[in-house]
Amino acid sequence: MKIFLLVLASMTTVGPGLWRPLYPAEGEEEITVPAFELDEAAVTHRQFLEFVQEHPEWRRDNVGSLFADEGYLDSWAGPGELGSSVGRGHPVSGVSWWAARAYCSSRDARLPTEAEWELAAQASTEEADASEDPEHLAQILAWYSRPGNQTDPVAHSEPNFWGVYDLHGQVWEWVDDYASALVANDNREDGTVDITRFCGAGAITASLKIDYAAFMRIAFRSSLQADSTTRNLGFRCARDLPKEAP
Amino acid sequence: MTSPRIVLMLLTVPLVLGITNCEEQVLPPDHVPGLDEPVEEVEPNEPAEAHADPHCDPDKEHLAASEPILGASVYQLDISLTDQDGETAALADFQGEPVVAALIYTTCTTACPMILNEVESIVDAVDEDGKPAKIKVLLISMDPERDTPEALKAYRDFHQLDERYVLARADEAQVREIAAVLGTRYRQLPSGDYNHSPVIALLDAQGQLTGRMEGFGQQRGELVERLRDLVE
Amino acid sequence: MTLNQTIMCLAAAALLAGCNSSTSTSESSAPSVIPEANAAGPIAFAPGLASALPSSEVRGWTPEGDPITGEVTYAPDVPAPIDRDYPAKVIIELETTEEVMEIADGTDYTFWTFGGAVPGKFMRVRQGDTVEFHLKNHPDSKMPHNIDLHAVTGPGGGATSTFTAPGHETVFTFQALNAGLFVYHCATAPVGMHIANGMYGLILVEPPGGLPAVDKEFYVMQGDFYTTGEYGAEGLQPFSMDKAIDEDATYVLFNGRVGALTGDNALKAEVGDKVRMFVGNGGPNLISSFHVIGEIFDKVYPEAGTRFQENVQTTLIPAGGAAMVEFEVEVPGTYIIVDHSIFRTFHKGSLGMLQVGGDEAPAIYSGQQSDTEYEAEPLK
Ligand SMILES: [Cu+2]
Repeated sequence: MKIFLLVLASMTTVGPGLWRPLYPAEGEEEITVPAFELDEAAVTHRQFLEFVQEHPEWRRDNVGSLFADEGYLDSWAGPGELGSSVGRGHPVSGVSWWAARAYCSSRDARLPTEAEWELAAQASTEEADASEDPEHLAQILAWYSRPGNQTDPVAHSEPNFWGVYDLHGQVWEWVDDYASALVANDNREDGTVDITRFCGAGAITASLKIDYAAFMRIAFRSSLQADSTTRNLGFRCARDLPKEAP
Repeated sequence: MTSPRIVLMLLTVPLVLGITNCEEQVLPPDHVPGLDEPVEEVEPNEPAEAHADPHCDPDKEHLAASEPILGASVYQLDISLTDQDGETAALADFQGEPVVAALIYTTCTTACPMILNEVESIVDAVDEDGKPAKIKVLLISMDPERDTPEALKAYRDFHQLDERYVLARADEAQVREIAAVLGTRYRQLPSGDYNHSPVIALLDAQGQLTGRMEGFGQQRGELVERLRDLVE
Repeated sequence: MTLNQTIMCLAAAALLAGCNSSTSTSESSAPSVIPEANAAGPIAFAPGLASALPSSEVRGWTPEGDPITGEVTYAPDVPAPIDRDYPAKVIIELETTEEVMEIADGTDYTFWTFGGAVPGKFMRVRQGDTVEFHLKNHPDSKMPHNIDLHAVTGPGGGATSTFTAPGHETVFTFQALNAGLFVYHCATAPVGMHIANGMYGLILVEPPGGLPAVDKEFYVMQGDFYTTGEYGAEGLQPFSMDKAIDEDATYVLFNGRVGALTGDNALKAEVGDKVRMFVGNGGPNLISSFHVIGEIFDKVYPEAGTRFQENVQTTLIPAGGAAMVEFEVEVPGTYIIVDHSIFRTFHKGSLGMLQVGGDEAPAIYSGQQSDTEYEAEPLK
């Protein structure tokens, strides 16, 4: 259990690396992601409870409806207590984008961008970029066959290449620019967006059609609003690398 | 590395800015929205409390002012706008009148002119007998880099928009928050243009989102009706 | 349709309209159509669903009366025929869920559903009705979902208006302009996977005059499933993307489960019943060669269009398509329902049963009368 505590508190450096977005616009086929720091583990219920205790404005009975919908922290027994059915060391869920941002900000951190998150998440335990490794993709896909909102304590599995746990297999995670996914609501349009709906859109088609989990993440993110709180959606924080001393 | 702009975007990932003091946001009853008030400068790297402060709740006693900021109000956000004349104001200064709001950028040649068209037709429909309705139109740029106050002014002049139309810019992190409350999805492309969803939102005098249309035409009538109700 | 009438129809393709009037008064007035391709043979498309109106006529209709809550049913049940002679506003609610259920005895699968079952709930409206459609996505869902109803005229068949995050509800309204039997399905990326996990069902848009009365109506829908383990492998079986892409189905099923229509779950009818099956095929990949062993479909509405075909043994149902089949059961016994791509039946589960009770009809079918040895010539 000692290991858990160490893990919970720490960030690890991820990147730099290349990320190929699923629906790249012209010039976006490969994006260079500078190195950054990322929480090794997702934020847990216990950690979020501590945050809410320090910042009672984020209790579910205080938060304004602009910042979270009705599902906010609704798995908790009360506004300030988890109750027995909530795993303290499990990833927190039912948290809006605003709340996730506020949490990270209280830790002098921020939410990762989509590019950062995806860069970290394309690593397998062995490789920094396993985005075309069928075995890795199949493992990720297995999560979707796991029923409902079952989770494990964070960092119970093997960390990936960067030392990051649970990017797949536990909960969805917020990214700061969740609203940058501009696939049409009808996903059969294959990301080719209607010019009258989206300015500046060229013909955009999926780059790696076998990465089903990536399709799902994009579909999921594009279904979210900033106040959305779903039972399978948590987050972790990121931070810019400390500036090197001159 | 395919584009310096991408790197720039990644390096300037939004930081949560500013500390909101709820009392400061509650405007005095006689407050006239203006763009001449000093706005607190915030260091971009300053660690900060969550500025989206849900303390601003109507049920809170200390906020029982005559114009409370409601829990659903966008005026809880601490957002600093600079208008086409280079003057700054808080987003919350728009409290008090219905607002038609949209995110656009002035060099957009496809969706944005259509958004503006829609906005104008909504406003025209609400203006009765040539008598302008008491509303504000807030067009915020999603392209703070290129949309300087001068560019905004040129755009406003070119389209001969009346004084109810405010064109404004905010920094990138704040644009993201505005987009979040209006439900506008957008993304900057390597070309510098933006992919974005065409959203027109309607805020009541308290800043609550009371109407929203995405796309063109279909929901216009509904939005016009709601705006009429708000004006009355 | 009786056997005599059937024979009469076979003998006189040119008299089809007259023949129809013996089974359905409502279908006698429409002109018969004999496509050129059939000039050489007796096969002809006769008129069907005769009271269906061109969509252009329905377009101006506005809903009358109080809004109605649309009845929806789990397979194999079908909502009661619509007893209404005016267009109404019909409110339909459907909830998407992601649930572990048995796909076969001892084998679990995480199905994604419309209404908690595969296939999704059957909906029934009347041509010209205005449908206010509510799509709810259960809070425990991992995925957003939407719905494309093939009965909808408009972008995405509703999919663009119903993209729904877990815990949310979306609403859109459409007018049912065309009569027919239509598939609906989820169209969220990756679309094939949402369909492969069971996100499909049927919506019937009755013609304004309804369908001719029958004794039994059933809802049967085929679908193909792809699991990492082989057919019958025990435990929770994940979806196999590779097999799905290769169209190498592990299961081909009626109503979402091995045995959904066999044994105690068999469809039941009595001798003399007129039976109508609303048969859909959700796919995602395979075309169904739908066949009831020991029956001849008196009528098939191929692709669930307005004209029917008669005396059909096996009908093709495309993925994302449907057919209406009608027949009268004359002889008691068990009738096996299959996809006549027959390895699917013996190895992948596409087997159902219709049990017909009632008096024997030896004049039509005697049963085995003898079993003896015979003198055979030696083979060369
Ligand atoms: Cu789905």
